[in-house]
Amino acid sequence: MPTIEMFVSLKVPDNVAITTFNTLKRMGYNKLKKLERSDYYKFDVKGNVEDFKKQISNTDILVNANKHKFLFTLEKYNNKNNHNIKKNKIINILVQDLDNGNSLLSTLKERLGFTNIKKLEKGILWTMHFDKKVQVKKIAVEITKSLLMNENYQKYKILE
Amino acid sequence: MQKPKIAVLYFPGNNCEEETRDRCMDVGIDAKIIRWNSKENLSEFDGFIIPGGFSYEDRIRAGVIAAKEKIMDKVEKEVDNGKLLLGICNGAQILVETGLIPGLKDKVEMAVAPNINPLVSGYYDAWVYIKLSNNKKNAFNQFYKNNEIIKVPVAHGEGRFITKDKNLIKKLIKNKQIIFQYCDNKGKVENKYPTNPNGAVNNIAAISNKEGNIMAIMPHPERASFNWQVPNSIKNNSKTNAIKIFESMKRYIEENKL
Repeated sequence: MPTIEMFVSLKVPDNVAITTFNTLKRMGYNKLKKLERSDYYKFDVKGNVEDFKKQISNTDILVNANKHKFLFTLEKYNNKNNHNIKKNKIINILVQDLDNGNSLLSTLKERLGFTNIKKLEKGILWTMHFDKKVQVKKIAVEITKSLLMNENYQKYKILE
Repeated sequence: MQKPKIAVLYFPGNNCEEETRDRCMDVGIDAKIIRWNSKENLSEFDGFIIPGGFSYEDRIRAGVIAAKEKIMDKVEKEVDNGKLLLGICNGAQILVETGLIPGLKDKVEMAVAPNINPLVSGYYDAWVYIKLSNNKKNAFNQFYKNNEIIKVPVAHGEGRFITKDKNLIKKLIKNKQIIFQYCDNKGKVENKYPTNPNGAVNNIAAISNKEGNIMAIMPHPERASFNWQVPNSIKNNSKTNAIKIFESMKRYIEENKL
């Protein structure tokens, strides 16, 4: 069954990412150069993938074209957002609630007719840009555990 | 005798600071709203309250940004020696995110996670009932009798006390740190909606630290302290039993002037 990942971020400045970045600076994470945030969705779907992508990006629930942009591959997402690709190292950390996505799945299926979705995961994708000299993974995980998630009801994974 | 002094700590996005200050003053506490970036000397206060609201718009998750503010380090130092600290709703979320609640280890041991409610996803407000969970006296429950039922409102999207540590709840029960539990109007503690409005483990509505001078409570006692605030009651200025939390704080300060 095809799996589709979708990354939805804001066209306008993201206040949550800005506040988070400033808080991390205050906490001493000065090697972090930039922080971005996007909504992450992963669908297991039956049927034509391209048709599904068109349909899902037209639902007002996940994407409001007036303020959101979206992509379906992480590589494209990172390339589009990284203007200093030679200078910076990037790491993507996905934070998800342990009880994940069920209410959104029932909304998409029952109210909007997406009966072709068999499974849905959602989360917040944090993209961290670091100076190339630092141990990116170690610091990124530390940042995640100390601010971006609460381990008592959330989990994280690094998206490659 | 000088009145007890309490600082009501205001973070950007809080919205319950005035009624919280007023409830303190109603019971004879001299209360002052202090902004998160104030240079005021916190050691002049006998205790602190972090009120409800949406500090920093609940960015990332409720309470976590405020928990990382410098003023919380100062507050932590002040309460180390027994000064009281109450977090109401968003204040409770902040205290859990600092690790001050339940405070058994030097780390964040719990979360106040998004509600699990069969009818409403996200923000939920309703009048609920809570009662004492045990008979150990602390800074906040000195005037309550066992089985006394308190009618209070909840108003939150993230109010579900939860932990991944399977032994923590046992420890909290053993230490008598679970102060109030959600119950029905007869006092029965049953882990189902609507008695438990958010799916909190063990019907927890309020937890204290082991010493009993810090408490995180999700319902709003400051919004239910007089009959005129409570629906379906006689609209007069008589006090309800929710105000006993503030009266208890006053007595605790007077008896333990630090």
